[in-house]
Amino acid sequence: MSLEDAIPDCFRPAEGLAREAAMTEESFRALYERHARSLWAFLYRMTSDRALAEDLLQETFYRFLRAGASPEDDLHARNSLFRIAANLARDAHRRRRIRLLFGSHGAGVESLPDGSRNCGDLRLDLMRALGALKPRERLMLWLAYAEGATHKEIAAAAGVRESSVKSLLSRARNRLAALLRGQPDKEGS
Amino acid sequence: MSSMPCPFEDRVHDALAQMRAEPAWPDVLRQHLLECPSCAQLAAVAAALREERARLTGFAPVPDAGAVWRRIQRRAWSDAAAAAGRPITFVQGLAFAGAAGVAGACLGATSEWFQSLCARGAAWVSAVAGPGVAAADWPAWVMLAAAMLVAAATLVPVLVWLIIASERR
Repeated sequence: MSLEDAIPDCFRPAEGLAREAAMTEESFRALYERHARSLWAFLYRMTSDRALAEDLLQETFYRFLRAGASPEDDLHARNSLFRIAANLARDAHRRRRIRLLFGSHGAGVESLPDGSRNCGDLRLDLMRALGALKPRERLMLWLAYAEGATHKEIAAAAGVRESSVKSLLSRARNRLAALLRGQPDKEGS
Repeated sequence: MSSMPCPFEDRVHDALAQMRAEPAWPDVLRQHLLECPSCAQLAAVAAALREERARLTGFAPVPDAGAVWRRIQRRAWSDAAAAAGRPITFVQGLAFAGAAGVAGACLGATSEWFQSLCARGAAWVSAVAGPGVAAADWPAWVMLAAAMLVAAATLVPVLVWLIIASERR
């Protein structure tokens, strides 16, 4: 009987961990280099908080590995990563609302990252307008137009029916355009 | 703007999805964008968001892949260890609850102070409910209030612990 056999089951790594071990550091690095920056941009736009975006980025990769998703199929990996990131951003938004409800503000929401101090008014307007949208609208617009995601991918990440994506996107786009034109927001966020 | 979707919208959307490889509008769509305010708006929003994405990914302060990999490995092992320790924690909780129950029973059976406290409580409830009313005849609202008090005293610490534990995770 080998030492490996003698280890009780409860001290063996979970199934997900076994799959994680199958992914080498090298393949993780390649996956990370391909997607980390666009994921960070997405998470930063969803949360408006640099530190939180970084935390959620690491959590996204952790959950991706724990779920045992294959890094070989890059498109599938990208969709999985964005879906996980979208869920995490949604949870973070809920937690922030609960904190605000109970008067604990936690980390402040940043207005701008360092690199954007010299931006023009249009960029500032875009950020403000995006911030005024509902989280789901922001998510859908970003995935559709910044990431070029298909309706199916957007539906999976936003948790809506695929058939609804077109109309929801259209509504979100009209709201964003109206906000950018400086028209008063009728719906609020 | 018209609420009817433009029939070209899907083509504009597809063209946008392909534009990363070939950043130019096909001629047919370029002409259409000049004439259709809905699709022009779509193109403008998409252009603004793409520009924002390019700017953010350009300076994204992402941590080093190696550092993230090591952190993930540590976290995975600590999670596995925590999962392995969960049955032990459960048994410890059971043992603690049993010990607390036995201690409470001993206190109730032997402590004069505790018994006089219970008697005073019963007398107060009887006074509220009306003179000469036995505990069994207490009105329903008193029983309900007492049950809610006991439930709150039990559940609130558990809920607080759960919230703190989930925040730490």
